[in-house]
Amino acid sequence: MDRTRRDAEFREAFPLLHVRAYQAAFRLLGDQAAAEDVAQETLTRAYVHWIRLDERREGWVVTTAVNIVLDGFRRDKRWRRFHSDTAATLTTTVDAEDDEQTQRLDLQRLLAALPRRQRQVAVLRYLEDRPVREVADLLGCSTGTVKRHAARAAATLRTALGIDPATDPATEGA
Amino acid sequence: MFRHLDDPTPPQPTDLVVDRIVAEGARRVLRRRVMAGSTAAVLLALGVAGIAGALPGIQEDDNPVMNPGPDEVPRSSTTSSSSTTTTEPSTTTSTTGSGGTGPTTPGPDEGGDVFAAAIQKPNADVVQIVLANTTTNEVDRVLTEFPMIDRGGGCCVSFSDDRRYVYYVVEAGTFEEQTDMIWRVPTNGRDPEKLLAGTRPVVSPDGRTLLFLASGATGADLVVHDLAGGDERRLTPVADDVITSYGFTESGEIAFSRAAGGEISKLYQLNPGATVLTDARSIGPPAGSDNTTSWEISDVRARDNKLAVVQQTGGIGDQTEASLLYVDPTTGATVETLRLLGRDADVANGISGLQLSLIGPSDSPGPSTLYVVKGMEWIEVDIGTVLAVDW
Repeated sequence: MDRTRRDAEFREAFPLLHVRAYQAAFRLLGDQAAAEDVAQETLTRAYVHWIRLDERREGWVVTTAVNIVLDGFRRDKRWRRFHSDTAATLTTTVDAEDDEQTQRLDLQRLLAALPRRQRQVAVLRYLEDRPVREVADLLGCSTGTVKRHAARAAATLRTALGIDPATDPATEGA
Repeated sequence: MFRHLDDPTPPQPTDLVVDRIVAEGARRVLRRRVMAGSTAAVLLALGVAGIAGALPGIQEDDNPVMNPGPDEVPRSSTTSSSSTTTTEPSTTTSTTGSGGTGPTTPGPDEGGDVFAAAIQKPNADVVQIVLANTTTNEVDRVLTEFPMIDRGGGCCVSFSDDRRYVYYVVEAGTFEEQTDMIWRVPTNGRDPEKLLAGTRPVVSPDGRTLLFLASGATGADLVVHDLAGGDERRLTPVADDVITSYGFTESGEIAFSRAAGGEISKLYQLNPGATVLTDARSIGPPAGSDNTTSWEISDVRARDNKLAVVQQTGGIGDQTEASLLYVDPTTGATVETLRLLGRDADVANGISGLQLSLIGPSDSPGPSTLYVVKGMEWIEVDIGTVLAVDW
């Protein structure tokens, strides 16, 4: 693919891919400027790998954006400590916005802990709310594979939803 | 379900921003071409020197490839046995050639063995719990079946060492209200029985204890359940910790991996009588691990009392590559490795002698196929779409 064609295709797809990358990052970060940085880095990488992405580029962009966020989460301990302190503060002053920020921090932590393939499935299935069939198409695997990873990831991720274990049916009798 | 976290007014990038991204992307493409040329030159030189085979797989692309060829299969590339006397884990890797062989047709002299699996019934959203074996390459018997739901299905099976029971999970409920139940089905044809609320069961080598995950106050608790008496202990991770995988060693100890506060997961071992997770002893990680690496224990019941660990690369780019490590639980030394080049393949929880079962490659289109790795060869076991397996 020559550069002219690559550029034309990329520019045409840019608006949709950018908003996908941006929202995926924003869900985890809750910060416009930081999410915009992640989206731009994601789209730059998408350009580099454009030839290979074909119809699965949307899934690629979303999972790459999340990976970039989580990579920063893992590497920057000072940044993580700052967010831990923030989370601790938030627990004392609970309102809807603070709840959301706490949930974002939980999501980062839990997604970072998931094995790679589980994380990809979890991001597309739960963070993006896409149907199993669509996730399978985006990742290029079977629906059975998606369900297998989704089931494992769900057990870990549900804590991010703030489900009270006392009322969680899954704990009854356990 | 996380849409409420969206930005209601996402920014619209200007043309200037798009131009800048395209320019930076083009610059990186050019740089990669230059680097790829340099790498090829180095590899050629090493090949001439006859040592190219000693290198692990080097690929140009360090980002996830979403469109691998349909014929991609897990390929074993490296294996070694490096006994070490140090207490620090170490890995010595050597290759025996250009990659794995196979697929080969399993023969009667290749150690075919009965195993339990969860498979997807052909052309139906139904999970079947079956017994199959690598000698006949067929399903011997369907033990039970249940509907596969949209959230998941057939995530886990655990085959007791005495071959009397297969433990499995029937997923139910929504993501927000999961009501997954652990069941077990006797292999003698009797009816399945519902056991507990929870997921990812692993039965102990003596068949007396069940290890599983259940929702707890700070996340998912690891529950140690006495199958005879019904007593159970909850091992609750401290806040921010996540238990990522677990199993039993041959001696009945609990081995598990735990990710602390978003860090990569690390390997631990715990006395089965322990009441708190903090009593666990750290075992890993092996040499070469860094913050781009995560661990997943596939099984810890190897007959030589080694822990089998899947090490997946992660971090930026997510190059799809998984390594299988055998870890000595006493010293933490890595005694053998098997690297799966190019694509990640989930390692199913099963080892039988030198056999290691893989489900995958999950990157490729089509069904999840079961592969059994024996030494440097792998064998495709054609029993349909495999969801989970245990030996």
